[in-house]
Amino acid sequence: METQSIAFWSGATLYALSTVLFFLGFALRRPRLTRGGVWLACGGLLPHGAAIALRWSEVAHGPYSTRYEILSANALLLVAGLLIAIAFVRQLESLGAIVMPIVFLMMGFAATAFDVKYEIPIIFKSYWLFLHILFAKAFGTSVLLASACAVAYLLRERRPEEPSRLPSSERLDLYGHQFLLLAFLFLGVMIAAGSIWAHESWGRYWAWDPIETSSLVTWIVIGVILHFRVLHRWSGRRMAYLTLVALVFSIATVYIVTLVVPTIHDFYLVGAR
Amino acid sequence: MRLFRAALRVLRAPRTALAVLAFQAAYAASALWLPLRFSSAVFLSSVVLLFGATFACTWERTRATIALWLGSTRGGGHELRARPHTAIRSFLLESGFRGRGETMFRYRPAIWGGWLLHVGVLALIFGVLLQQTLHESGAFELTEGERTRLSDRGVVIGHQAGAFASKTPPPIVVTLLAFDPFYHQRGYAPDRASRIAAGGHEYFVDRAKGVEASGVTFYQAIPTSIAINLSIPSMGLRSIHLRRESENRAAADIKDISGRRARIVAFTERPLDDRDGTGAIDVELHRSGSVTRIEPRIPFDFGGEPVRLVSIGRWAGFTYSRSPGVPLVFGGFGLILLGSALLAFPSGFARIAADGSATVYMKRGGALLLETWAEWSDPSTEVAIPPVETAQFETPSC
Repeated sequence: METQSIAFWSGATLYALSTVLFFLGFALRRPRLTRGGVWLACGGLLPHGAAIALRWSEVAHGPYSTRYEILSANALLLVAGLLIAIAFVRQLESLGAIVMPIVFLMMGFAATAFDVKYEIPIIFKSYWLFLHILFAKAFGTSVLLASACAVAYLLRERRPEEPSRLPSSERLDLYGHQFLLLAFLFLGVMIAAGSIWAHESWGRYWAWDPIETSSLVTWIVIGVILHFRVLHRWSGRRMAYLTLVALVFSIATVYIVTLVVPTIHDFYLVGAR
Repeated sequence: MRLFRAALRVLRAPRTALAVLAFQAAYAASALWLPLRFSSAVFLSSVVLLFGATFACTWERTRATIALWLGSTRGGGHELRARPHTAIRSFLLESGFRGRGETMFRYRPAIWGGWLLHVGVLALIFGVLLQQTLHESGAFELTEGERTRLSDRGVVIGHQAGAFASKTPPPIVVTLLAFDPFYHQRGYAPDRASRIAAGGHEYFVDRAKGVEASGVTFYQAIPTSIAINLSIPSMGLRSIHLRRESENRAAADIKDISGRRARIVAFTERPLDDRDGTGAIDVELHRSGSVTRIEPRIPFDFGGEPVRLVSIGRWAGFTYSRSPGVPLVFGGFGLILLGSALLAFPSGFARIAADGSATVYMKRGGALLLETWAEWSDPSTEVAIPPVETAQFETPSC
């Protein structure tokens, strides 16, 4: 428990320092500070990952039950997603100034339920559930990264003539689209894995549960947005705003619907206790 | 024929697909708060329209995708103009294009991404249709040691069958060998688990996973309560499944051998769902205003026959289902996901001309490629160009 706590707080502290460096690097246009932010985020992944692994081993199930487990794992995947994106496209490192504050807030909110632990229902014993949750988190990560690209695009467009640490508008537009495509794919895998899990556990693959329905709505909305680009050649500012619309739908699906409508996906409420 | 073509034209118009998708999203979102049904005529019509639009779009897309796959598309490409000291082939190779001839491809299999996604949507909708018309499901209850045939009258509760599915449950014999309502598996809260026999095999079934047996899947359900097992001379052993009425009481309304209404009530010392057991149980037979206390192995009159209480146990709830459309549903999903994954790769092809220029047809990112080409310098020829002295070349003395 002590080791787990130390590992978690080490990760959170490194993320906090990384957030500060990303901010300073962005505001002062100092690439070295941004680079430092990247390295600190990398450094934070190790103790943070260890904290999640220790909790996993302690409670004998994946991070799907309490608010601490869910948000902490979401934050881990978000940082990992950002770092993978930066590894492929170095210019994306400025996105850290948008993404890392979100990570820091998630870690803070997760910490408030650090001591909450539960035995989860037996229906959670399924590889499909593991895939379902993993891809739900991957979906959240991609849609946040797509939105970060959209926000960066809108910032870039406000003063196009000024030199910027951000990638060119065209690149931000393309990366935003790529991340949104990944979000569409990951949400699709999440829905498919969830329905296979439901079929395995209850003999029905779809029941129009509010979360199932809102996930489908979000998937269709992202599909419509992608159609606007492919069929109507929409891009730039309009696509940036539409990407933010996709983010709103995603947040509603993952957090809001669970809290306002009775659903079998009410395990977030367990974490809220 | 003209009408058909006109219908096809309307169906494959991008606006049709977008309108149908937007309607379905709005309908589903409204259903979260309003009492809308997904089996309503309006929603089902939108699904039919979506199938039609997707089919028309896929039909149209097939020819274009084949042309792209063969590298024979004309018009609409980005032209990379020839530049001195730069080999277009090296640039294209560095940008992910592959091929030896005049046509080079980038992520060639990914050209089929959109097409596969659309075929997946068609398969998914068709799979759902099959599943809805051919599925069958129902619930049943068993006490430890009890054996039943699902097709016998009254065994299956809440039998549901699609329009073309069998209207009677399958004649499968199922026996409950053991049942634990609080079976504990590490990391998970205690929950029901059973050992059942069906079709000559034994299976362990918990609420995490159903088991396949004799062409159907059996699932452990949540309901459980006390079962009173009676020995009736004319009927053999019979189990009466009591329903929970309060924390310490369960009861069942039945008819005795003579057909008179009766009620069996059980009172437990501790709560019915106490994990440490219910403690002592008192059983009573209520009939025509009189109450008879039932003692183990002591015969009592049950409508003209001396009946004995043999044991008290627990009954377990189960469900079964037959889902012939599900493989196609998941197959459709698989195609959608494969198509989406392929779409993430910006595919296309480039046709290199004899003058060193090239025309690039990209599904995405063609403009960026053009931008990169303008700034690109060929590493293989860079060394050959003198650095500063090149200016002298531009104004030759002669």
